[in-house]
Amino acid sequence: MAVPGTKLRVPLSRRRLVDRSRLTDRLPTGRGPMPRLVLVAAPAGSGKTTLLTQWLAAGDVRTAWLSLDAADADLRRFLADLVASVSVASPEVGAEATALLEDERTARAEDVLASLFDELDALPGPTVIALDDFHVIDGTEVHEAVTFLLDNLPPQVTVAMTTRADPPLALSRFRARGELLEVRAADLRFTTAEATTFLNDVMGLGLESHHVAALERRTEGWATGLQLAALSAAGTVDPDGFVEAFAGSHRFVLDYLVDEVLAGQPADVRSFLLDTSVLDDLCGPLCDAVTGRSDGQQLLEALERSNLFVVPLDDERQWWRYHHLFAEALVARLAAGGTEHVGRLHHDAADWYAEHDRLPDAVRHALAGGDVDQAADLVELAVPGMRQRREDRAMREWLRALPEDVVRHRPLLAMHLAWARLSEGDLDGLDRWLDVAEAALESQEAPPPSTGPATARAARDQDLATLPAMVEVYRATVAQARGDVAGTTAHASRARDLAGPDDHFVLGASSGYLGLAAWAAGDLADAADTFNEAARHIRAAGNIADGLGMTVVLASIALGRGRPDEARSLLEHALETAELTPGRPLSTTGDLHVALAEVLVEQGSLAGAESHLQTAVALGERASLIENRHRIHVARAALLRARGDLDGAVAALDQAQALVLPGYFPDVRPVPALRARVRIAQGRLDDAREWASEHRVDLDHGTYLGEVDRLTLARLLVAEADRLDDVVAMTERIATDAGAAGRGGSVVDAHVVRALAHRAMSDRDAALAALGKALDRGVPPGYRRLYLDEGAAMVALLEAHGGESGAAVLAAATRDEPAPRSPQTEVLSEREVEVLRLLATELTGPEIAQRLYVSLNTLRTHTRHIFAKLDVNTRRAAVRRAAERELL
Amino acid sequence: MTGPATYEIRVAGHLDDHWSDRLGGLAITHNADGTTTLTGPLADQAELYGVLAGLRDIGAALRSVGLMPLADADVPGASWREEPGQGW
Repeated sequence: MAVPGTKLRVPLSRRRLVDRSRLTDRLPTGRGPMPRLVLVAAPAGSGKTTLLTQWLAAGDVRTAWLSLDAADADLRRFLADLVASVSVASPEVGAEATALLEDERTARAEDVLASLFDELDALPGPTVIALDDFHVIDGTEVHEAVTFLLDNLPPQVTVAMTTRADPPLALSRFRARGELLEVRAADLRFTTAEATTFLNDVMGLGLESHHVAALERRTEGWATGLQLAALSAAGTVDPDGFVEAFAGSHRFVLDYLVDEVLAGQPADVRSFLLDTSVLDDLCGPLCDAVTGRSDGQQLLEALERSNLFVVPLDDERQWWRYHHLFAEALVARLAAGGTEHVGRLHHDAADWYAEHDRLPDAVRHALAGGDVDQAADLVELAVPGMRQRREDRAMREWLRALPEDVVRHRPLLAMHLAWARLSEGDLDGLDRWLDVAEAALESQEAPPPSTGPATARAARDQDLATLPAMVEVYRATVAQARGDVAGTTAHASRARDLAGPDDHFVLGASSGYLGLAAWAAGDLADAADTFNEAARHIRAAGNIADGLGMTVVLASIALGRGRPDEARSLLEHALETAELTPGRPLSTTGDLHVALAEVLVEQGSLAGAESHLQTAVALGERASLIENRHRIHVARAALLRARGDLDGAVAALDQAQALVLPGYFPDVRPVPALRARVRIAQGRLDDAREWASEHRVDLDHGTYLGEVDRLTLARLLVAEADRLDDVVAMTERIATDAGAAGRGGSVVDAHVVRALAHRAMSDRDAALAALGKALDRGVPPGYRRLYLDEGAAMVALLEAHGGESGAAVLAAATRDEPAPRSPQTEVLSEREVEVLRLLATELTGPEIAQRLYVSLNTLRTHTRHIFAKLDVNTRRAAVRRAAERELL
Repeated sequence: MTGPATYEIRVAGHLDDHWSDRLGGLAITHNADGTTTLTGPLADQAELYGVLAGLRDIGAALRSVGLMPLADADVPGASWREEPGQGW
């Protein structure tokens, strides 16, 4: 990792440079059309970066500079650096992209880049995004992101990259379209005239023209070769002799010239250069730490003055680096002197970086130096920060670089691998690494070292202290996923016992599992309390999205308790909080809308339900957890059924069933049972009968989880006019049991079915008595569709009942519903359609804002809403989608 | 070619011996025509690409890359440069 900030600025040059206007003149000035990509591709040391800086310094173009390093092969890291570089160029840009990268559990590159495009599009004048040293990127993820970047850039933005190898992008496509401007090795080669200017004017060597020509020939116009040659010639009393000897040698130019340069230095400077060549970035104190000297600062300044291949990284003369090629040559010479010495240099550098709170650099040096224990200590310190920044790739590489037996004796490292296994869904691997972590914790003799930055140490010690509780949380996760209820409860209880009062994540996760277990066991009051506590802890742990998303479960539990009104207010409150959270919609906002829609259908507010469903659709999958994806179809089915479209309801339930992911939540309302209820209402009893036998539903036996199944079977028997006495007895039993356990939802449902059974037996009084109980219990908290969905038989009963609550239910059936509009036109407001039409034109963002008499910020808000509603990331895609939906 | 093989790489100029470690441990031979030949066994093509990237990064000009006819004695043992065995 480079010195913070220095990656993001155009490299400084305090030296005088050779004018290269024959090349810079070919590059765009910003006043005319800009190519999409400027590619400077040539070997190391050809002067690529210098050319780019000369071009950008001369023009009047906004420049976002990013010096890439190997760590940028990590997509998240690359995106963060890219956004930061644009923010340096234009401070008003990048806040949203940064928030996306920080907040979202899995931010997609496309979303981050799209947000950047929106803002770049709104800037006046051209912008160049310079990616220096692109060849260091070896990850396809980043290559794909850059392809997306190039394909979707706003027209006034250009990407310029320097590279030693042509990047795996669709260059021929850009070339064919005239969108690519290339500068290659042959272009960069110094001409004899340029070499003369450099050697004689800039370096003041006063060489004869044939000697200049000889140097140009021998170095093949290679910038670094000419520069080294000039330094060598300047350091000798006989420049002519030097040129002749060099020209006559076959030796590799770099070897020949670096030897010459080193030979011209005093011995202490020579050993300083070699020892510090292991460092990527140089500052006085760091150099002192590895050389054991105290004159690092003076030497670095002297090296800069004598042009000895140090590149300044700041204006304060604090940080430099060696020119990459020069460093390569020094490292090769140093390594030839023996690995032990090199190892010690890296060891000392690692210590220095750890003391200065730059752990990733410390780890890199410790690994390079081969001290695996030092490296493992440092990785342990770095884990919390790396996980927070989600730099998974670097973590993986570090752990791969450590010997397995070292990792196996480090509980924190084993735990990290367990976590990595979990995030890949590998439960067996997770189990194995949990065993390793526990064994390592038991056999650990000494406490971890007390060196390193204090905050990282505190985070590590905290992780170590909660490790036994975390192991139990993970074990509960495995048990839950495997459907082992007893195991889930046992591990979750142990985790909760082991947790300290402030271990909010452990407390939240363990209470969550215990709440789900209580729910599955039918103890809904306990489930509600425990799960409520879980949500509180998860919010306290800082996870707002999941904390709010847990309201979906709390609302389901409230429904189980027969309290639609409570479910509704919980969800409405959660949605209010979600809407107050800045940035993009949370990953659980859509689920909250869906859950609320379902409650609203039950209460008879069909138009309100529909509008929430449309919002959920517009928010898309990004605002929905994978375990909840089926619920939108369940809610849709309820709405369709309420509107009398029973075939549509069955189709929606079939879609729901395809998306159900078992193992997350207790299956209290199985989709097949809901489907069978619709079939019964349609009179398609054979279909429902098939369901009953396929699922082996037994009227007389079952647990709480089977209640919906049994009450569905009871409906089938009523429709078949079969075993009606059994139905009456069973529904009475359920009403009693469920009533005692606080499961009001089942109580109401059971009374409804009992009323229908009595009616089928022509026992009017008993039917009205049962209905009376159902209404007393169900109408005040808002049940309506539960009665109405039973159709004509129930309507007749309600009319016969004649009471106030029955009338309230009947009123819900005839309530005047506004006619549903088609979802597409509902999605966009008139203003948004207006904006969309302008987006389809060639106008730039600022021009559109001007035309609409709004600020750029307002325009951006409109486009953001349009993109969200159309579920697209870019202007182009929005226009395409709008055309498909005939919105333009 | 996915397995081990012996490669022969020629570059312009006489490279110093100390580059060998940086370049896959290949043996360095200087030729009379002013080129250098790098020869030796490499585990697979991934390692070959690593060596080529190394040459690129020191600015050495590539002349040719070839495969040497294989003698049994040159084939590295199966245990040579195994992938890390941790299985993660």
